[in-house]
Amino acid sequence: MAFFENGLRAKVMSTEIILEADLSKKILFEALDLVKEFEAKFSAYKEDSLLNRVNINAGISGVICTQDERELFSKALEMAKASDGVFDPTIGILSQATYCFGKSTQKIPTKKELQKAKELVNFKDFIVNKESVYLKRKGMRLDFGGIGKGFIAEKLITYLRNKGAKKALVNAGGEICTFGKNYNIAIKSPYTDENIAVVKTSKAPITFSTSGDYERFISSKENHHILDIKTASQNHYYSSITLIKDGKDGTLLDAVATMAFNTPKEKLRALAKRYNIAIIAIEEEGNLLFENFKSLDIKAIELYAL
Amino acid sequence: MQIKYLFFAIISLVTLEINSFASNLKDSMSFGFNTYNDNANVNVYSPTFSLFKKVSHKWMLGFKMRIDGITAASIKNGANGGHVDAVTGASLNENNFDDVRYAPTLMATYDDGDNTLTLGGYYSTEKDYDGKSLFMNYVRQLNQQNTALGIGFSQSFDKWSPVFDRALPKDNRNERKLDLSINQLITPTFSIQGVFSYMYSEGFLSSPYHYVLQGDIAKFENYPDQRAGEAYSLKSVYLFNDANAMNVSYRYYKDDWDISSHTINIEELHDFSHRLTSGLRLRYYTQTKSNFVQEIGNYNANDAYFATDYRMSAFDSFTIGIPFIYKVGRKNKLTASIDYYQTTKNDYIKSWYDVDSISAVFTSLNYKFDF
Repeated sequence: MAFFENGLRAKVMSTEIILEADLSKKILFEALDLVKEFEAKFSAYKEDSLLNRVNINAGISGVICTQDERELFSKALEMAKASDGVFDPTIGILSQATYCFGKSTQKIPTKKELQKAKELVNFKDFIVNKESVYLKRKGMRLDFGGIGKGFIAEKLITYLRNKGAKKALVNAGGEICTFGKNYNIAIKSPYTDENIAVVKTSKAPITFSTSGDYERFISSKENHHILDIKTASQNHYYSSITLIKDGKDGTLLDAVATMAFNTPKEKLRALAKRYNIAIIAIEEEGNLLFENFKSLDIKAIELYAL
Repeated sequence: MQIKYLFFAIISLVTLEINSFASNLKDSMSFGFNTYNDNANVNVYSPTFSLFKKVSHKWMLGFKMRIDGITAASIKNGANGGHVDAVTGASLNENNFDDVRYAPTLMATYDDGDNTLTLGGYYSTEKDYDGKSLFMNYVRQLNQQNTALGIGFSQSFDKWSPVFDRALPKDNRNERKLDLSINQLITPTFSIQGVFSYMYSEGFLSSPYHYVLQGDIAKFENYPDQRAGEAYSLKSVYLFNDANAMNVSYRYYKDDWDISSHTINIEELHDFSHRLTSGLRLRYYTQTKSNFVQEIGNYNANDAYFATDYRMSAFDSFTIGIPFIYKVGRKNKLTASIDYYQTTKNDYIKSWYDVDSISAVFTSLNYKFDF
């Protein structure tokens, strides 16, 4: 854990969290507790997490949870419905149990294994009701990797605002929300350790989310971790895609970033307009694509050589 | 009482009460932590360690280590500071700091009471820069140790390895420095010190990453590849009484880039008890601009030199600080300080850091014990 002048940086399980705000350290520590609570409940790597209890009870029974705990489940299901399954949190059977991304047992599965596992991916069998969460078929698994960091970033920025922050920055594993100050937010190059662009924000709330194939993969970037639900395998439209949206809707943006990564460039503009987001995409050949920046509330964007 | 001993330590002279010309070497170890934080979001955290060990009556070996953890460090590419507050990417950088610099120093000291000779070497490494230097200092006590003449020399051999793909015109940066000093005890309570310094640098003296962006001009920062300067300083230390001392110093510097500066330091120290000494220090600095820096926006494409660093322009700065010395025991000492630094408004600071002036706080904490 390291202290900035008016901020806090800590690693909570696998997620690096940076909080900067004009608030006391005590409040920043309290905010950090939110992250720890979240990880305890929703981490796929924690055996006794709420998420894993839902997975273990798939096809058996629902798991009772509080209204607060149901919030992420509900949002994930909403996104799945709105995207007609392009984003689907029931992808866990593929990501965790077949590819096993992030585990020592991770492997490139056979087509037969993928075909079999794909049958258990269907958001329509994911039920969230007033008291409980339930997966209808045995073997189904939830994975919030495509939405969780955005959710926690949104929670943190809301918490800091409610505590009286006039300016704040939250960085939850690369999912970034800011307000109140002109922050410089860099977009990392997928090819080097450097940055390809820096966005200077206005003081209005704004959120950033990036998906990329260059950090988590098995053996090579050919087998990166952002799966296409339809094929249960990987697309290679982009090396990296960054979404920027006015406001603090990190949950939505994180999910849409996952969807955008599996959207061919001809359909990217429609996706951007549908969700009112700006997109910077870097194709595998190194071409830069920009969509829907006209109405984005930023002060400047500076580009560097790739 | 502590002030009195400190007075003589400052001026490196032995009082008339001590008749022996024995070596002053002592085994000691120290641990320290220094910080620097400014409003341009540069933060440096530096733990330090030193160990000095006598290997004979007249010889001592020393080792120092300093580690600087720097956020918002040197590797910023572009036409203005654009320090980055956060990075969005598929995964975050694992490191906590933008850059970490490791700087060990090794030295050997010979001291027979009249002559003190120190030889040493320093090495520092960071992501894009390696520094190596050798140094030598010699002090000769004269006139029943009321006078001390000193000469010091250092030569560094540094090298740039820019993280961006850029071929530099030269990748070396060498500096040499010569100091000549004289310390004279005028009365038992008053001493003066005069120092002449000569500095010469050659090689790649700019930043590899910064560039001037103006209209349709985008030119990498470029300074002359040689710089020669000299400095003259005068320092006086006055012991008012057993519990109060003041030191006042003035330094004048000029170089062949046409930068000249004046520095005035005043420090007053007071013994609050037989263990605790504290005081107040003030520093004022003013410098002129270099002969190649232009007003922001006035560069031409065929100019020979381009600057983005505010230290190439004219500015003033003020520092106010409080030092603390606490004697834990006969052989243990805790020293600490806190200083506030403020520059005047400067267009280059505004252009690079998006603040009108630099405000900084730096602190130090050090625990030293003899064994």
